[in-house]
Amino acid sequence: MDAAIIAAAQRVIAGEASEPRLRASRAGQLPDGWAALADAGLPLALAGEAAGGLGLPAEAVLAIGAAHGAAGAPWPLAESIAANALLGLAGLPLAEGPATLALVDGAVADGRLVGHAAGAAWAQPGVAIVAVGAGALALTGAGAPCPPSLSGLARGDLWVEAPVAGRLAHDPLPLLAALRTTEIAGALATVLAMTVEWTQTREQFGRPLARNQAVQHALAQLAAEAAAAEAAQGLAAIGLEHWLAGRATHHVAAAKARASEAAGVAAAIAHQLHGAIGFTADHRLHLFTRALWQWRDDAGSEHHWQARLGAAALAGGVWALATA
Amino acid sequence: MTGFRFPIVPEAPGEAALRAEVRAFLAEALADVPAAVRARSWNGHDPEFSRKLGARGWIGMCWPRAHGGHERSALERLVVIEELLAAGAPVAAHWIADRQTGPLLLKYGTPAQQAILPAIARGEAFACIGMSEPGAGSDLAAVRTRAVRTEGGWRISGTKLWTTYAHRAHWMILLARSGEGERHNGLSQFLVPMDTPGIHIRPIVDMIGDHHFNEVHFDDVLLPADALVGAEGGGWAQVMAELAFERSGPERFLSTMVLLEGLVAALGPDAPAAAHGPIGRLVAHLMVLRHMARGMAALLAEGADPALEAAIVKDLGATFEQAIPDVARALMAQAPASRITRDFLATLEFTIQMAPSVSLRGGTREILRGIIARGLGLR
Repeated sequence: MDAAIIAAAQRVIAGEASEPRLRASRAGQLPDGWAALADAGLPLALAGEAAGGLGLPAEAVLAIGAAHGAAGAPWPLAESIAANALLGLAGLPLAEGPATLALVDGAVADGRLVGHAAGAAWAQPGVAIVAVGAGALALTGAGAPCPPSLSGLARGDLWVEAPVAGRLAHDPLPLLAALRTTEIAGALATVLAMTVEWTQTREQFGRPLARNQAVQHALAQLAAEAAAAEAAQGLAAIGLEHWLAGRATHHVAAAKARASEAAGVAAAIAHQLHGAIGFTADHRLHLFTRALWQWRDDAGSEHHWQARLGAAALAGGVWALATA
Repeated sequence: MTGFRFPIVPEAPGEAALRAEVRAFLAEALADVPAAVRARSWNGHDPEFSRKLGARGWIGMCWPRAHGGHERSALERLVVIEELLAAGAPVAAHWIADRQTGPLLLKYGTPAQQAILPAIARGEAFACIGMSEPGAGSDLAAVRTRAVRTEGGWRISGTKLWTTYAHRAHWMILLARSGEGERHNGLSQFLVPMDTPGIHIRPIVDMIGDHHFNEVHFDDVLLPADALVGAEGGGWAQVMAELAFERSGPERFLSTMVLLEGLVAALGPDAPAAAHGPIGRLVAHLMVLRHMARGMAALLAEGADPALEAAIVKDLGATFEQAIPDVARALMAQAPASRITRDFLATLEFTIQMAPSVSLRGGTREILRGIIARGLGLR
């Protein structure tokens, strides 16, 4: 059953994610096509059935995230999946349309969540913002136009001051990190396929680039990083199940750390092998690589999660942590 | 999304208990073994230790009981071997027989050949791999050792090289050229008792001073007809199937773990924050590699042939193993001097010198990347 849902999600996403829509997202816009994703129930994938969601297993939810990443993630799908999951956990109605999370560095005072949220993804007009921080959840309405970001996707720095709508026992960061891990894994799969195709097509010195052993070995490294990110997605699924059960998880930490590292290494190889054409605005490569550079820093960069894992390993041993 | 297969294998009932049982056994068995000795990991040869594992039922775990096995799952075997490796247990004596000789004979062996399986599972019969030759290293299809049919058997002549623990093995699985044809054609595998007349073993000492490598010379060695394993001329396909077992296991990323644990113990919980990131990076890599190996064990148990994924695990694993000595060098200055013991330094020195071998043995980095490139459709 999950396989059918995943396949249907892949079809909807691939069918709707046209290049003009992908490019519109990189111009900071919310592209058309969201309705088809909503009709398929994708934004409700993780929210519990009692809350009106689909309550899919973590593995299926993350496969949907990866399909979206493979298509370049032109919509706030990961964010909506996360926002609806948290709304459901807090006993609040799920979002009507696209939604995003703003992680607030602040406090609750006089029944209001007050603080700053830096770099909130998709915090723009048309997207409902669910502000989360200090164990509280607040609804702030839709966002305002955002300045350009690294990837071109809308990112907003927000000052939040809104009535607390619900309480939240779950730390939202691992949830976002798990979803970003899958988008990285999906995007790396596409980058790998694009780079393989390009090196087999482009000829220099009278033969395809891919006939050169040095190029083959660089592609093998790119493939290994993509494979590591895909395996990290599986690790994130295990971690997300722990998270849903209210248990601490270091699986997501490892997954995001590894996928973020893979994103940087793989993007560099892909650009090297694409040459100058891959550096142009016209080429599609940057629709993926610029997002990869942004996503690797989202919800904790590899450095953030490595430091947390390292502290845990120093306290109790590497093998004990890795097998916990 | 990439089409690579790394299935999620959930924790099985009894897995934690088995892990705890192995850890308790190792804590006692290795209590007095210095880290610098444990750092030899699966190159450490200790028949007594192997017999103890055999008595516990931890060799030939997945084999049928009729052949001395224990009919445990692939996952249970993985739990046992990764605990052995992480602790630096001396597993070399039985390692090859347990990992590939046994499975090969289970699949292709005659009943007479399979009769050696119970002794392997008891940790009493050890095997070596007769693949590489002076002229056939990475290019295994260049094997020249000849197997010529004689009346009632085979006559073997040629030389095998880099044969790990040939001098302490009872059996060899020999790859030799038995027929007409070149390269991948005309190769066959043979089960060879190492005390057969005409086999001469010359030690090759490695640069650290350890003796595990050998040159094995076959001087018109006579084998009975039933020494042939599997199909005559089918050697190449059989060897490739063996390599998937050889390349995907946790020994491909755990062989420098003793140094990493030693480093973490020396740094301790109060280590400066600057040490957290580099250690955490290794933890993240290790956890992803473990996840991959777990998935591979499940695929192999289903009879799949994940050769591409195995090559990826081994390539990433070797890079991980080789990163550890440099992290240790970079961070050890942040540990209290009293915790940088002579044993820790000896472990570091050994691991620095051993590290080059991990991207050579079992398929060099260049060979693996060629396999990955072929899997991508580039060759």
